Amino acid sequence: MGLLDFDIKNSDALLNVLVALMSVNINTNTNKVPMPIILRNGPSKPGLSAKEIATDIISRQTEALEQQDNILEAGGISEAMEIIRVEEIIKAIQTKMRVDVGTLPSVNAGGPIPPIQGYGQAY
Amino acid sequence: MADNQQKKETVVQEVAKKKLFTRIIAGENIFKKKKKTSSEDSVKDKSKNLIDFMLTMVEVLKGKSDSAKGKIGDVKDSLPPIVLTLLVNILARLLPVMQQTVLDLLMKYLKDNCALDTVNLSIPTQLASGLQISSRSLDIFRVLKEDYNSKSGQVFFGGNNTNSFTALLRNAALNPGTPYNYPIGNNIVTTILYTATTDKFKFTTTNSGGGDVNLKDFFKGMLQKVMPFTPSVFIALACDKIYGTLSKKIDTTLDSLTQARTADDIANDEYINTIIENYLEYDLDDIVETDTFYTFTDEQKGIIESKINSRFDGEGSFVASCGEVEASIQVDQLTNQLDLLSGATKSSESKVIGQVLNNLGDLATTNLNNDDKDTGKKGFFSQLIKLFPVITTKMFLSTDIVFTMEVAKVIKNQASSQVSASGAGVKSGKEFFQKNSQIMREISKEFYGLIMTELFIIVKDEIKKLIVAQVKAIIAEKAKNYLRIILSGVEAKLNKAIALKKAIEKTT
Repeated sequence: MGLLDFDIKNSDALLNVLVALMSVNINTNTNKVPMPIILRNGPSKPGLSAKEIATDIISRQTEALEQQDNILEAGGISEAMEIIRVEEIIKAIQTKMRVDVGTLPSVNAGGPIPPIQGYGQAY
Repeated sequence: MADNQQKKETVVQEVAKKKLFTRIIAGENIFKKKKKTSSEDSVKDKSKNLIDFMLTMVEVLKGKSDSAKGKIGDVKDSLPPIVLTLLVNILARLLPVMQQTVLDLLMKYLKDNCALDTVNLSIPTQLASGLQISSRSLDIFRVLKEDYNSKSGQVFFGGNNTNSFTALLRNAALNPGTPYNYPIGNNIVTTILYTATTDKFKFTTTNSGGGDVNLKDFFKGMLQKVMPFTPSVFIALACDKIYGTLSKKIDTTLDSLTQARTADDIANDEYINTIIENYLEYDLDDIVETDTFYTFTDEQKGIIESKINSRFDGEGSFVASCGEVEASIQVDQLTNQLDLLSGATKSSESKVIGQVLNNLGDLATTNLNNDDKDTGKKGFFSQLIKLFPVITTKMFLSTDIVFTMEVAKVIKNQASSQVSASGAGVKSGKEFFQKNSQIMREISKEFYGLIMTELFIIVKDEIKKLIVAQVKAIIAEKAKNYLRIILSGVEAKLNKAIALKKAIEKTT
């Protein structure tokens, strides 16, 4: 007993430990996209497509359905679906979003030229 | 940024915990497969006794970790081995360790309450000159009427030892006026004398080597001489609790076992069971009105009443996932199984305990059709686990422990004359628990904690298996993250659990 790092006789402490044991972070890593990949793949990115993102989300619906037998009922299908939805949107932004940059002709020679960004979109 | 992430994780954990806790407190089913049919369960809906919850965790996790590995066919039969293995492990190897843990807890209580660290502290003068205690105060489970030579009597006496403290009490009660000596060690001897007219025992403790009796030596000697817990006693008392196997009134014309329990004895026992169950419904640090444990709701009273009747008739039931399983296990059926245990050697003990539990599981599911028998046996083994803290607390309260606590009370109150003058202590088991409320709460919770530790180790192992199985199923890049988490988090905790298990095994 003494070797456990919590008091198992205390229901609150036990539930804390159980929840912590089952709380494994399974979200997609949202680290920045590495610079070399941006430079290399940037121009060839197709741009965001609502239909494609929706297709990716729908194709993962079965994953959400699997959540119905989860150990904990925390969230269930609807919360799992929400996570999948956001994951796919983030993935699309990181891997498919294209940023086109245009430059206006300068009125005053030598002055700063403001770049104008346009977000590419595919249909 | 890291702080925000930390805060977010804390909030998520708190929400998950609250959801889990709310569902337990509200009695809402956490697991969809769980099925409740017993009115006894409804009383316990608000309980913080999480044994049932942990058993369900084991069932669900075991099924999930197996199915994650693609062994769906094994899921149906997965629970009996794991709960049976746990039971066998506890009964064969851990019972003595558990008993010692609680004896240590009691010794600490005695030290705190009786200033045992004081040098050369002697026993109270009343004990040196003759401390009188009524038989009902000592015999809170009414075991002295049993014949310890009979098979069922040995259950109540904690085994076959005719020189045990309880056996000497019975001898003294059968022979009023004849003194019986109980050697405690360190030349300390307690003489027991019974007076029938007052129904009181008189205890006189002396030092045969001369001089005063050291109080610490007296307490240590008393605790060291208690009868060790045995699997037989646990199994028998559990069967009696469920089926009234030992409580059933036996027709004296057909059977020589005439020491049947009276309805009053069974009622006393059932009220004690309920008090211990009430203790388990709260955490030790919960602030609870003391009366809460000893005041019974109408629903509880109804259940107790019906339990008394069914035990008196030798009938009983438990709840399995296939519904309520009714059966009866007769005293000869039980003692035949216990005979198998007494014939076991140290090396074969685990195997024999497993066989005995399986055989009793068969008897418990006699009335079920073949399709439900496995589920029924699963429920029977789970029921034995759930009864663990109640049965072990009762096993712990042998007459020598009760006597020791009575002596401690004399010292603590410094009003020892009340013990002999006021009709000598408690008149019922309920009263004993009321007068020793705090320590009895701690003792029953200690046994609860010990069984919960065993369940927790299984649950942790199954969670690890589940996570590993899921890791295998995801893409390699994600798997790296998962493994990193597992290695740094769950694995470390698991190692602690394994270390704990090994430490317990080492001490056995």
